[in-house]
Amino acid sequence: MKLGFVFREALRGLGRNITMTIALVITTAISLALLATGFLVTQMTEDTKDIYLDRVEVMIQFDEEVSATDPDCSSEACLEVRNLVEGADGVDSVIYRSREQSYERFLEVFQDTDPQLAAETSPDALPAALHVRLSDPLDQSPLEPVRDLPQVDTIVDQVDDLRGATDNLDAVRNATFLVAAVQAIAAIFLIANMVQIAAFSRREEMAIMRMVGASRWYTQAPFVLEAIFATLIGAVLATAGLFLGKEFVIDKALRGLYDSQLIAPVTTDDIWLVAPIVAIVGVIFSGITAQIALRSYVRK
Amino acid sequence: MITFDSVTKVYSTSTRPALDNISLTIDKGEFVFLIGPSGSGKSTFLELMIREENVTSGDIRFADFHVNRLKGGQINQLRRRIGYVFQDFRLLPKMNVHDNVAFALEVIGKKRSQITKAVPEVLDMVGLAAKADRMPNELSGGEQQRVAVARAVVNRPLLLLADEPTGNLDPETSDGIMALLSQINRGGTTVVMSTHNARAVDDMRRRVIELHLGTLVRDDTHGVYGESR
Repeated sequence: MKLGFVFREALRGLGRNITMTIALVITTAISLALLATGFLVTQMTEDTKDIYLDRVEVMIQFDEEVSATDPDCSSEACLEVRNLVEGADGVDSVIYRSREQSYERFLEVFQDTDPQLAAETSPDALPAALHVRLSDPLDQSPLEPVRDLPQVDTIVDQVDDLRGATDNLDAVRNATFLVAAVQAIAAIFLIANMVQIAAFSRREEMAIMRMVGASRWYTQAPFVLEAIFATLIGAVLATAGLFLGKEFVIDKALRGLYDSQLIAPVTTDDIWLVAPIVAIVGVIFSGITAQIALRSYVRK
Repeated sequence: MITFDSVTKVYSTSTRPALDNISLTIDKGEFVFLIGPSGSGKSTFLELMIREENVTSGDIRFADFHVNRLKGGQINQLRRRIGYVFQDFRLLPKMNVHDNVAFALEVIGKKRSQITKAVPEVLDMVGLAAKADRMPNELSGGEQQRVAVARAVVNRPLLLLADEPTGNLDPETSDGIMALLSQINRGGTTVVMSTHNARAVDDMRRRVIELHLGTLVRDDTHGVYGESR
């Protein structure tokens, strides 16, 4: 097996079908970039979930009696709940917030963002509550002992709200994968087409190769390598596009969200991790496609 | 060397056999003319030899190869022991004479040192050492066929198959090609050549196998093109 011959023929083929090569490079670059974007959004969703899960709390809201009369959780009803929760495994911290404190916090959050809501809400509308941080925010078993106590009005779990937010990111990811898949189909057809055109333009050489007993490696490898080279160039362009996109578009557009830790940033490390995977997937796909296209074209 | 044992070939596109129950033996070092009108089965005979086609029934043996039972890479091995010359030369137009010949060695993985030694030797043998750098379109028809012969024998095959190698050449040039094929045959290579070139067959008086509508109608040890005299 002489690699030199195969590589030389593959490069020659790329040059010979230059317009087709360019079309293939662009198409694979776009589909690989979209595929990589899908992976990056997935990673971003996971990281963002982690950010939120670090912050989410469970609120155990008390009934009207505790809310109206207990400013510091000194009543028997409040202490019963507090002791049960603090004594449970898997609870990191428990803070009591009285009706007044809850109202102050409410005003802090909504005075600027929704002044009308802030103005129309009276302190009486807000209950006193225990704010509980769980070691595992997705495991609510430590709260089971207090769930049915009469002084407990409602247990509010912010994880439910988090799911809604991350579902949006998941939708973005799914849409990206869908477009990537459509692009990939276009790339596959282009590869098949390119290989067949290349094989046609070299049919005389292939006839001679078959006649003198060249192995399948020698007759077919140049075409497969041609497709792989084009895909690799596409993968390099896709990676460059991801870095440029991150630097000049995503980072700028999302800087505010990054700074306020509302969304996890895409890092260069993430791109370095995803790019080789996507390149390998692209190369394997193009190699297989080229091989199949050749099999249907070249009689052995 | 070559044995055809009750070989029949029927193409799917035809009901009449292209070759019908052919049995014959060709010994090592023989020079054989394969003659007959168009459609008589000459090309099918050659294509079965190099396994471009396979038999419908019967057996073909060549050297250590059971030709009709070869698979995959074994077919490549068979073809490396057989040189093939086409009527229309089939030189690669973008390669010069040297590279056309070298190509046949390069694609079967021969080492560079072997190629550098073998190509000038074979070009010298066919009388084209001085034209190694020429492109095919700069050569006459006879010279192009010499390059094709050089390409066919550069790997020192046991058998040279030639499919009407003088079909596109004028009589004088044909004589030159026939002389070259004789020279190769004298070197020990078995030659099987299909032809319509009566002059060549009559001049050389070698074995003649005549086919007609796929059947063997004549096998003369020192035959001529027309009926046996």
